[in-house]
Amino acid sequence: MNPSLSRNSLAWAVALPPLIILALFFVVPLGYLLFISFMTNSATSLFDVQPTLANYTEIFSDSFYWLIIQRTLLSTAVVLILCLLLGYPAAFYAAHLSPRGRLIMLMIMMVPLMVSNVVRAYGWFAILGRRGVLSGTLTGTGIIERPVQYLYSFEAVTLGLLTILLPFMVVSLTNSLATIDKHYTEAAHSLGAGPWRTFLRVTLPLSSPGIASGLMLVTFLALSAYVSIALLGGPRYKLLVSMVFDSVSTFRWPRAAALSFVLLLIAFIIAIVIQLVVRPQRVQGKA
Amino acid sequence: MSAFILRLVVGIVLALVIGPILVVIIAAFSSGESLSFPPPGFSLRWFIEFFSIAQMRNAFMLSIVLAIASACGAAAVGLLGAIYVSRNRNAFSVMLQMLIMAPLVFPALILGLALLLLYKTVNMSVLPGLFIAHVVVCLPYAFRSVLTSLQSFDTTLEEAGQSLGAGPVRSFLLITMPIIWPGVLSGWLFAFVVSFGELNTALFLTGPGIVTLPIEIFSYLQFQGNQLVVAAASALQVLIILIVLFLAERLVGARQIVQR
Amino acid sequence: MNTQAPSMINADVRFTRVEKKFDTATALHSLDLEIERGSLFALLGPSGCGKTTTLRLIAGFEQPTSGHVYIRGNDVTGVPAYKRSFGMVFQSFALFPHLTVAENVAFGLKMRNVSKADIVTKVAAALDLVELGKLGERYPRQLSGGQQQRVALARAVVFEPDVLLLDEPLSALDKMLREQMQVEIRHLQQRLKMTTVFVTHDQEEALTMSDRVAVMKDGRIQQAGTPREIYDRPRTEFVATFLGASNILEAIVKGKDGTGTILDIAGNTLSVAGVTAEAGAKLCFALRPEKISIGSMDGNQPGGIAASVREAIYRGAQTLLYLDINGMPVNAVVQNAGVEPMNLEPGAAVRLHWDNDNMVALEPAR
Repeated sequence: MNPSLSRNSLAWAVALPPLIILALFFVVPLGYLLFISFMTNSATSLFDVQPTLANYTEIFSDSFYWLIIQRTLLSTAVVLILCLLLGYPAAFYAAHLSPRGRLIMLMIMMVPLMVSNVVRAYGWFAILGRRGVLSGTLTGTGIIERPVQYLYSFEAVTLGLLTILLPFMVVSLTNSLATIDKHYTEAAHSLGAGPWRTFLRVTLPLSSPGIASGLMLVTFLALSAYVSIALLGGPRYKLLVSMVFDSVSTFRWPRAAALSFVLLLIAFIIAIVIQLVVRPQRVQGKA
Repeated sequence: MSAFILRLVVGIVLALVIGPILVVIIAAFSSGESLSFPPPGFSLRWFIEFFSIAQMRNAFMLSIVLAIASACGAAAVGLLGAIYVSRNRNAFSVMLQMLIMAPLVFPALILGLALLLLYKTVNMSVLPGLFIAHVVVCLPYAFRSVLTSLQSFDTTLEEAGQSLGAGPVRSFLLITMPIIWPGVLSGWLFAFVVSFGELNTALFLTGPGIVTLPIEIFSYLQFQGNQLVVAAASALQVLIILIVLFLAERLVGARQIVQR
Repeated sequence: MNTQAPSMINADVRFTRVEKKFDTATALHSLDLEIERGSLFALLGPSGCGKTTTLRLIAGFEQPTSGHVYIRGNDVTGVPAYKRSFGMVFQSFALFPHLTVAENVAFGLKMRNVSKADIVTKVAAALDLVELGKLGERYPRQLSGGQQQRVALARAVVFEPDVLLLDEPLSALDKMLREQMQVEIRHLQQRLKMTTVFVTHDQEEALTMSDRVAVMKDGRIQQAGTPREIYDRPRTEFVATFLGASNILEAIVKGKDGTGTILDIAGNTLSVAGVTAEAGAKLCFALRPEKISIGSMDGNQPGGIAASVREAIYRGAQTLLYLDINGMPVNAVVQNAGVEPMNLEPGAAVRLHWDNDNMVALEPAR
């Protein structure tokens, strides 16, 4: 505790700029968005000031939207499971490297993380497209006869999302695994647990905070990765976030707002499910 | 056996993460007319093409300027927030920290939509609106980096400064800043990179003549423009990020070694 | 408000009824304190006793919940640290890592707008004072712990503050260096005649270095006085046991005779002067183990108190004895002078002798 800046008006002077910026440009717009989601669609202005629940009821009573929601849940679930199945071993590997090796591995994960999503989506475009790497290789080796395009499908979107999200998962898990005291595993060995049982009974539960935070980050990002979904899913494979964008393109602002909050609701439900399944509070203590 | 599977999975992960970027970079140097693999030859023609297209060039310049400006904004605001949070343990400081970090996980597309509606209502012009959105999105990165260095900063150094007669502001500028400087700089660089690649909020917030590079790439792809120009644009993005990371390593890394 | 206790004419630091609360916990209970100009004053106590809080109140890093703090007669209550005149050596030294040794020492002078030329001479003089004249261009990390300590000292005294504060200044050094620095700090302080307040949990350090010691516990000063007073005439059981080892003898008052009060200690009758208590009252006395001498049962020294040896521990220069007087445990230290080894096997019967003046009546615990 430093008395110099903590107990006087200086403390407020320091806290105010971030507070004002986030209040005006994060909290207020989201509140406004929520407000608009309960207003009536208008042809001439942003919305008509006529309170209604129609934006929400229409979403939930439309079988098309249900299909989209189901598809969104399914693809998110698949991405989460793949992220965990692929990310955990990679993180485990990285965590057991030397500090220097771990740094290199994390850097390899960080660079793609910084490259814009659109670039990485374009990479898959170039791989899966009709004249892309995959098709080119397969025709070149004679496995298939004519160029095929593998875009605009569930698989393409899943691959695209994995590319974006795996680094987040690996970084989160590596940091969690690297901080586990190796005395815990040594203690388990000394008590007669083999490597697998040590992993299942000690390492895995101890890394649960990293699993939970990684999965939650992946959930939020997967649900809102519009650009990858749009480029790789195309018009044929749309998810909920595409619906938000489509509503904006047709200037149905209250509908877009309502869809946004349905998306957020789904994200929070998945986050709660993750918390209940992974139970990170076992290790973290009661928050 | 299990060691083999482990290495296999690591290989798959690396391929998934790096593969698409490598493909883009290779494609960017293609001498062919259009995307094809393997490329018929290598050349820089698509980079030249990139800079000859006014739209692309403008988008590139805008992205650079915007990234510099919003990194400065985010680093300054993040520094202030981190000072408060690192020195106050109360409910407000916890709330402030959560608020500053929120844009990190919050779906950026929804934030973009919300800002668009606000801007439309108050008639905000495009460029300042875009700048503010980028500051909000970059803020968590800058904040976290500064906070880490402030938390490892030994506050008795500031007390020592005060015992020698330096007031709070002077001791912060003369003692704290020179020591946490690497953290502020890496926060700035992080914010720069994030702003440079920012896509989801900008999707709704760009306007006629004011388009960032990622959005320009996206619309080119959607409208099936010449795709190898897009590859060159993407490769340039990767190049800028590598330069920034290299600078970060040289500046921050070297400085931090000096600190020890 | 501030008309308590007659004050010293030359008090450089004065606390009147200073109370300090953190949230709900009280760190200091209505503390009165006076520190004479030019003296070295030690605040001694276990961790959490309030000694560091007291120091930080002098510095102005903390402000009292109630009461007043005076430096050189001026009420500085509420004045922030940077407007007070004190030099401080921190536990971790807190040398600025980004500044050279000379720049560190010059910092306080710069803040006081001393002219450049004066800064150069004063810094050089201060570095000479701590025998680091040639290391001005080094960075703190290039110095050893002892050298860093000296830089911290030079930095704290160079602008001639009213008070020098030392917060456990030697705890970061190893034992050898610590003992050397104890002497050096003492000499430096005497040379500069600078009022110095010094916090420590090491009783030996407090006794060696200071003019006066205040023993603190639970936010109160248990006793303040010269090292000799504190050690020889402890007022409470806490002071007696915190500074070195001490036997606590429980006694029951039997009555009075011509010279003093008659006591019963574990079945033995003693007469002690200078104690006033009703018959039947219980009293506690402190008696240092080294004040007890041992005689054998058949020895030529008559009288004494009969005891039996429970255990004898050979310590080279001395032997530490765990003894038993009718079930009451007592420790004694005997010098191994090399004359006729006595039978000190467990169970051996011995006679104990001490001067009753060395028995110090203790106040009942607060």
